[in-house]
Amino acid sequence: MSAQEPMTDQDPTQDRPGDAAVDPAEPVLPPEPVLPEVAASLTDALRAMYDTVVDEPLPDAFAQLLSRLDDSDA
Amino acid sequence: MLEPGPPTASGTFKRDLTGTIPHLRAFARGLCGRSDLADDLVQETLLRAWAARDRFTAGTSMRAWTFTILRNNYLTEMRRNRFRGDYDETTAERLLVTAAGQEAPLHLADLHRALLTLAPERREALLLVGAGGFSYEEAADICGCAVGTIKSRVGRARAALAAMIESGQIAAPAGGSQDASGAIMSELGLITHRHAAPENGQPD
Repeated sequence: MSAQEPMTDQDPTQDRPGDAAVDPAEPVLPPEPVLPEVAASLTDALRAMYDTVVDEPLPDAFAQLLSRLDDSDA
Repeated sequence: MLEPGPPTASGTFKRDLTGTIPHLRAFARGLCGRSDLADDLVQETLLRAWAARDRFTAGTSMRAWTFTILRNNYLTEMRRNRFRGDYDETTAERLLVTAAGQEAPLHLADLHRALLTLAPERREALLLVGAGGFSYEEAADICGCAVGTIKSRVGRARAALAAMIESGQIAAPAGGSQDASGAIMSELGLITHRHAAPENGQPD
């Protein structure tokens, strides 16, 4: 694979072929189990964090960008 | 402006793409910790998604498809050293949230900082499954890895955050008034509660 980054001629969801093969971040040790209630409360906290951004009003830059998208291509 | 005629394929695409923007912003913010860089990432993602719209399969998840593109953009920017774990605390993140085993609530900002100390693979896995509500299978598709790998990464990410909470590295806010915290907590309770119903088909 070339190191170039094609902007259009390749599926943008498929340009990381090496990702699946090796996972240096994962040692062979099994993960330490987290108590279910701890996992659930972490999930709640993470969702609250995520939702604070989802609920923000969109900056104007996004409306401007969307208005530039049309069938003649941006 | 054009008259809003019958929905065209690209009109539907644009509408669905627009609908993903708040989620893309939330995912990007979680990944990189800075709102300005996160929004740059989202804008780039929207342009790439639009340019590749012919490759989108109608009826599949627009959110999963665009998250995949955003993630790839993020990895590219990481390689260019654009993100250095900087973090800008937003007003919203001064909100408090409770965690099991902790009597005092913690700041979302502290949680986010802790999240940013995790390996990127674990951070994104936890954001997708824990915050974004994707199934393990969807997260595995987005990250281009096996389902078991995602489960392992989520488990490790949770363990690391739990350990940080337990050891006090994610500190409860000092000197906060109980009354003020209570008001914010009930507000947060609404946010959390709203999310509790639609569990996005997580397998276990």
